[in-house]
Amino acid sequence: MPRSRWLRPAALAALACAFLGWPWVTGTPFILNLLTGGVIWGLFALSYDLVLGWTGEISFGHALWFGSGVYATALFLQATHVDTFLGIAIAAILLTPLSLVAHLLSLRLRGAYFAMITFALAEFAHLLVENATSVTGGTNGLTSVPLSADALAPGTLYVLSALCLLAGLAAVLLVRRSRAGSVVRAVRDNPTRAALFGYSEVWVKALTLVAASFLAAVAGGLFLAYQGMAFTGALDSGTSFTVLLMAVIGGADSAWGAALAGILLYVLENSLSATTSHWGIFLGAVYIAVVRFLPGGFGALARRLRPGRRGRGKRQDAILAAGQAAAEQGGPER
Amino acid sequence: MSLVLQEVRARVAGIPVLHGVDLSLRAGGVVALLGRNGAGKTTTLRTVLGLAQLEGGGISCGGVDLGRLPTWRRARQGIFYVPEDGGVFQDLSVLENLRISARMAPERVLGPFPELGPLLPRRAALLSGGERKILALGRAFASGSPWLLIDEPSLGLAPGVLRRLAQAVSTLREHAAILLVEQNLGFAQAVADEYVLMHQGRSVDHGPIAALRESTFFDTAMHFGSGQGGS
Amino acid sequence: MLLNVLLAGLSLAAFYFILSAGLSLVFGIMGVLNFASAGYFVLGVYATWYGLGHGWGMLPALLLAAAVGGAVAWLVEAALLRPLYGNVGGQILTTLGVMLILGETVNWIFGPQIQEEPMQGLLAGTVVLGGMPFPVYRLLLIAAGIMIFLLLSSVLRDTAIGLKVRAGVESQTLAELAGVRVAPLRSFVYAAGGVLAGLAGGLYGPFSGVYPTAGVDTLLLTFIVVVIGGLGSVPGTLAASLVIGLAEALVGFYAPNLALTVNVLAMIVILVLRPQGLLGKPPGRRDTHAA
Repeated sequence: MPRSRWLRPAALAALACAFLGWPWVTGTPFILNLLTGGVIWGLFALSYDLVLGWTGEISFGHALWFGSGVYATALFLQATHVDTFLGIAIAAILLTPLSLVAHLLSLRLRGAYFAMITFALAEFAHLLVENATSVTGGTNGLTSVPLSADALAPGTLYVLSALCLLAGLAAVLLVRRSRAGSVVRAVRDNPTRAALFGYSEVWVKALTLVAASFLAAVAGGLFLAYQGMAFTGALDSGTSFTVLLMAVIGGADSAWGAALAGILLYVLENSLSATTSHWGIFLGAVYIAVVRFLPGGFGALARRLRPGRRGRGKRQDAILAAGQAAAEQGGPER
Repeated sequence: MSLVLQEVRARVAGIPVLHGVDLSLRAGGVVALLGRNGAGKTTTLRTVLGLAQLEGGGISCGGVDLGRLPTWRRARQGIFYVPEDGGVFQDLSVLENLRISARMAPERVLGPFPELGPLLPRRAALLSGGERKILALGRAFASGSPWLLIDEPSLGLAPGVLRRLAQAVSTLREHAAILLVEQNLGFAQAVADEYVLMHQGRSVDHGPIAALRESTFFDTAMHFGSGQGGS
Repeated sequence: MLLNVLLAGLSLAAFYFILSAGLSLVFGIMGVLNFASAGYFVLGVYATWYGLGHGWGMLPALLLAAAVGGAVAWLVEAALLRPLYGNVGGQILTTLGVMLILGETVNWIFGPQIQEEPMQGLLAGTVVLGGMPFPVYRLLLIAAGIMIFLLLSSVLRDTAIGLKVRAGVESQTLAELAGVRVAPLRSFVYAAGGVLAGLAGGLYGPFSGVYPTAGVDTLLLTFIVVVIGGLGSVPGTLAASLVIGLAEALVGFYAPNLALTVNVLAMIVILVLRPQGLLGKPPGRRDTHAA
């Protein structure tokens, strides 16, 4: 079928253009603003897909990297006054060595202990930022961040965030299909076996988590530009929980699913919670139902419903893989 | 009354390990399960208790089908498993270890196992290797189970302790039938009255223990000089 | 004055112990990091507030908190966690959802504002100790902590079910091999965890106020205590509660903001260097009997 060879990329490109352009066709400033936030959270949720879906580890502190992106960008911009988008990129890159160290430290532990150290590290950062008032503004946040004019124009920010999301999505999907992607999956599903082939579980997972942290930090930087200021809420445990819920509902092992869930749930929450106070209850209920009845999330459902898909074999459930380490009742260490 | 395995096939962690095991242990008998490392002896015991996934064939005890029962129910059917490391609760005291599976006053164990007396309040983690083995057999006695599955009791013990252990196993056989996995052939021949030879996940031959060396499968299945460790 | 700081530390320790003992045992027997505990906690906060507001005495109000926490926990285990048996990842994620739903429900019914606990009579007053006034209520906390510790240890040590729980905490497979049915044991321990969390919630309101995020706010402290004490160990939880409570009272006396930060740092260091906790089992132990 030679036609499908160009049909698919063309369709994807058209989809991407529509995605980038449609707020101008239909949108009021309110909708554009809402969607910008949604796209940024979509990127953040996509980054969590790398954590749970790719490494099979549950992190309860992913806000650490989102919040670090917010504050690192803010402080970097205050110090250098460079272009905002350049600042976001540099801050995210500068954070990678730090995240590598943190992940290597956390990955000494497994299962519930890994979950707990991720939570503790994020809370520690939260407390540091809250208490280092002279640098971070404490609970008042950083309100005087020198953002460049293009970042303040809502259209530009939307397009840039959408581009970041598309680039992130493309990168994740491409790597997934590559050899590196299958190594990561092999390590998740059977670390002992992968070790026999010379792949260190800790390093493979650490590098995956560094990539996840990078994407989260970019999302954080964009969120800073979106809000115009840095708040400690970005480092809050609530932020970690929200992104986890988004990724699980969208699909613990589905990049598309996680990103779309991030966008949709953010938009829904911020347009509905004005009219209903039950949003959190509803979201929690949907999430619990997904964990029980649809452990691959809506992404897996979509994959199953799509006809004529090449058989890729049965995929292991990421949530099950996440629990296996804990269920073995082994020691806390890897 | 017999404990019967028929054409048992089983998996461990998804990998097929047993391909067809037949054996029958009648009440009061002692069957030695012999074979090389990796022949599937330990897996056979674990399958009887439901600790390995039964794939096919049947396991029954006194006419009761065990194949679908959960582990705790098999234990309550009177099957007691003593794994290679003894399987005692390290965090519990010796007395509590006896009590948790006991169907008699734990003190009655002190008749045949007097050396446990002074150890009763001690945490099992603090016992020596030999003491732990004795405790494991004491628990088997206290459970009053008519069917004991004992894995490598002699492993790693000094000759003095070994004699005491053989004595303990003889005490146990007065009360229960025993399925014994053993590498130490002398030990097996001293306590068992029948053998079952295993090779590559199958039971290949069985007979009275006195006729063990005459088995045509003896050399293939035993292959002396192989290293330590269970299957 | 030192006496006052010491007593304040002990009262915090007592509260932390009640807050964390259930979580530690639930982890021991289920391997589940029970976020929902924070949900039962907040139910307890509001149950006691409701009881006191309707003219109940402190004791009945606390019993209501314990009952609500235990009943909801029992339901959650039966309806949501039991079907996911064998899928620890799914169970942990589910408990997070339960925590969020319970917090949001309380927020929806009672509103987000901080309410004051309507304390009356002797418990609202102070006594003079070492020349300084000290809240009577804090003395009650210490008494409650001691009582719960004695009760828990004697149940675990002297009863048949306590023996089975300890056996199950060490190894579920070995327990089953001894003929112990572990499933009802899990329900029992989980519900008991709910009772303790609810009770802790009831005790929390009078000294920290009544508000919907109380559960999430104490989550971090619970984790600190169970990690330092070693998950699954009641004596470890007690020791860790004492360390954290006293440290918080002493450090907090001089530098209030520093106490929590120091404690989280201690938690991280212990997780990295000695994840089984200060009093936990030695490393390298594996449940080699697991199926």
